[in-house]
Order: sequence, then C-alpha cells, then structure tokens
Amino acid sequence: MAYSIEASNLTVYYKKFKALDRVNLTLSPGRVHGILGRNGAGKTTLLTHLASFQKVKQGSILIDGEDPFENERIMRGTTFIYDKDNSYDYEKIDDVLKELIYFRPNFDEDYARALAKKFKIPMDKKADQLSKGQYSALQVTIGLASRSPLTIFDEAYLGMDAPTRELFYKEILREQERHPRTILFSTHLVSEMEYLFDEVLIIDKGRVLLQDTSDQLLEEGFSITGPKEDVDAFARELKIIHEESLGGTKSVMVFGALTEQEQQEAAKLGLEIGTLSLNNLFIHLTKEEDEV
Amino acid sequence: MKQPKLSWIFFLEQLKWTAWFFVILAIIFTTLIIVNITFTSVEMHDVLTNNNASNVYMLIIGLLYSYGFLDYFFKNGVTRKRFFQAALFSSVLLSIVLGIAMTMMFIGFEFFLPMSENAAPWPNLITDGGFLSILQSLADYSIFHYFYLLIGWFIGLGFYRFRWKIGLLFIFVGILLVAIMEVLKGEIWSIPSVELFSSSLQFFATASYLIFFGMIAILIWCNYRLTKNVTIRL
Repeated sequence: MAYSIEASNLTVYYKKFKALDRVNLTLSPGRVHGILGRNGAGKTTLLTHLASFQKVKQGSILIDGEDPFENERIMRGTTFIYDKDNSYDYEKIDDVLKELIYFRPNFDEDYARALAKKFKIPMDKKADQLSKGQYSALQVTIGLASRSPLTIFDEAYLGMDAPTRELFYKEILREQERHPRTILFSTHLVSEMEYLFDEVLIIDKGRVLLQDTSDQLLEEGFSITGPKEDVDAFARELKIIHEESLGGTKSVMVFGALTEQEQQEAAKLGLEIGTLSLNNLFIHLTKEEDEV
Repeated sequence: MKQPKLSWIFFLEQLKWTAWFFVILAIIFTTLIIVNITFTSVEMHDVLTNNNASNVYMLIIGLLYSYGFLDYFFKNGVTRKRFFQAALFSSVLLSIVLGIAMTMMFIGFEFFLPMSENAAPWPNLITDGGFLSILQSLADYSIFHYFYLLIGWFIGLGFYRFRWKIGLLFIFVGILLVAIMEVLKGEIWSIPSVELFSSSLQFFATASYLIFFGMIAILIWCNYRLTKNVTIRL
C-alpha cells in the first residue's frame, strides 16, 4: 500500500516570511522521491504539512485522495522521521520497538530487531545513552520497520557514519522491492543518494523549481567542453547554468535537452558532450547570483 | 489503535509514575509522623492532609501532557482529537485513583496510630465524620487533583502553542485560577461536612461548588481549543 500526494497552491507564512509560495505538486505512489533544496528553501515546511504537523492555511493537500489533517487513516499510515534530540528520551530501545506495535498497523517487530542488529544499536541501552549516529539509526529503523504507506525521512541520516548510511540505502531498495510505499527523502547528500530516487523535486525559495523523474532530469542537463570560441558560439542560445575556463578550453553546463541536430553540430565542431549528475544540476540551478 | 486502548495505555503510563510518587510520599509521610510523635508531639495541622504534594505532582503531570504525551502520541500517528479524548479519560481516572490512594493512606494512619497508643497528629480526622466524611475527602482529593492537572495541562499548552512570552500569561492565569479555587475551598471547607446540606450557609457552599465546577468546565474547554489544530513541534 502506498499513498499518492497532491498539493495545490500551498502557501505558508511564518509571520511575514513566505516559506512556501503557491506550491503545486503531484507525487506518485510507491516511489522514492528526493526532495532537494538549499537551507531554508522550504523542504521541512512542506514535509511538516504533509505529515499534518501543521494545518494548511492557504491551498490544499490531498494524501491518498483525502485531506490528511486530523485524518486518522492517513495519519496512522504516515511516518515522519527527522533529526531528533535524544537528550530527553529515557526509554529503553527494546520498549521503544515494542510500543510501536500498538501504533503502527504494519510494524514488523522482527524486521526492526534485525535492522537494529545490523545497525549495531544496543537494545539494552536507553535512547538518551545512544550516540547521535546510533539514535539516527534507531529512527531510520523505526521508519523502515513501520512500513507506513507514506514514509518521510527528513535529514534522517545525521550523525550516521558512511558504512551505516550505505546499509540504510541498501535497506531502502530492498524494502521498496518487498513492500513498496511512498518514500520522501529530504537530503543534502545528493550525490550519495541520487541513485535511490525515482523522482526528484527541487524547491528553491519556497517554490517548486523542478519536478521530474530522475532519468528525465538527467537527460535535461549536459556539459559541453571544447575550444572557448566554439563552445561560446554553440551555447549562445542555450541555458547555461555554469561555466569554467582553463586556458583556451571552456566547459559549460547546460540545462535543457539537445536536439539531434544540435548534437550533430556539436560533433562536427569537435565539442565533447557529457552528462550532468543530479548533484551538479541541483548545485547550479539553485545557485544565488552572488555565488557565481 | 482503538480509543479505549489508547486511553488505557495513556492511563497506565501515568499510573506507573504515580505508583512511584505515592510510595515515596507514603515513606515521607510515615517518617514525618514518626518524627512528630517521637520528638515534637505538635499537631501537624493541614501540612499532610492538605494534599499539597499530590496537587503539585498532578500539576507537573499536567505540564507534561503537551511536551511529553501529545508530542509522543502524535508522532506515532494519533490525531489531536483522539489524544484529547484519551487525555481527558486518563486524567479523570488518575485523579480518582490518586484520591483513593491518599484517602486510604490517611485512613490507614488514623486506624493504626491509635493501636500504638498515639493519635494521628492532625486536627480534622478523615474518619471522624464516618462514611460520608470519608467519601467527601475522597471526592475533594480527586477534584483538587483534577483541577491542578488541568491547570498544568493548560499552562503546558500555552507554552507549547505560543512559546514562552505568551506562555508566561498562562502561568499568570493559572495562578489566578488557583487563588480563586483556594478562596472557594475556604468557603466550602469552612462548613462542616455534616452541616453542608442543612446549614444556612448552604447557599454559599453550593455556589462555591458551582463556580469551582464551572472553572473546571472552562479549563477543559480551553485545553480542547488549545489542542485543536495545534502545530506539533519538531
């Protein structure tokens, strides 16, 4: 079971600051969505509204066709995992996992325990005695084992070391095969996680900048490298998002698909056409003017 | 999870804490009584029977309703409305259970102390007025427990929802309500329970009770409104 998500004209103000500005989006069910954006772009604001932490005041959200706010079915099926402070969490890990059976209808305790073992989470300790990375791993364990139709991970990996993060990513892929659900990932580790995303949503300054499948997005970005004059002439009409020069050689990053004719022309000029990573696209599309 | 189960889980969690509190309180009271009987033989007046310790305990439990319980239940998929219903049920039950425990404890002291040829060192014995007096003590303990819990819940919600500046106003309102309650309590308790329904002062006592219950109803309504649509903190 997986929930679909639709937001129309979602606008959120924090006093006078507009955190989200007429956000329209549709996230298809059963897929892994990467929610990307700079710090303060509005990612967490969007996710807290999807998880009903806040009531929508302008615009609307539909999850699985229903307004999620105070909706028992949707809220029971939504798990929101984020970077939490464990200083005041005095519960034993064993009890934390046991209690979830009462709340999450699809919670798999055996799987949770197997994951905890994989992540080397000490079951006999209390949550406040765990290290930052271990606590994040516990949260991730809860998120995965809850098997909620909508699972949201907002920077859930903070403090986890690289091998543990790798384990987490592998589990996401395995779980998605066994129990497909809608997973939203908000992350800054774009290059590390981009292979997980079926679809990508980029938010910038409270607005949706881009939304597409990962494959489609990767076809939208190119790098063109060659002699400076030829590159300049060729890319004159294209949307350049980044450029670098070294001696007489220039490399530009372009956003937008190249036609077959343009590709042939580039080949004639001896220009090298390469693909762009999602990370590159994200960095250069959301770059501020003073960061160029 | 079904509503009764949720309410029950909520209640049991608080009952565990309350059991610890009660055991510690009973030990402290026993020690105080022994010290009093052995060394001072001075009447302890209302120090014990006034129930301040358990009222403060209930105030703290109430404070934890928003930062502790609402947060925990919501993040496990429970709606604000269902949380409120569970909180209402468990708070009433907890107030009564602690009221029964307190009454039983004092009855125990009043029963066993004379066996060791000592009198309970407080002036108004709970058992003096017979069954009605015991029942009234139980009701009073439970109601005051509940009142303090509601005040704590109210203040906690004020801070949770509006942060500290407006939260301070909730403390002010809380103090005001407690002060009114103390005045009303004076009115009610100034009339011996046996005369409550025959005394010429019956009007004042009844009015005091009505105002007191009105305050409880208003607090419940305020807590409901403050919980409804509250933004859950990350």
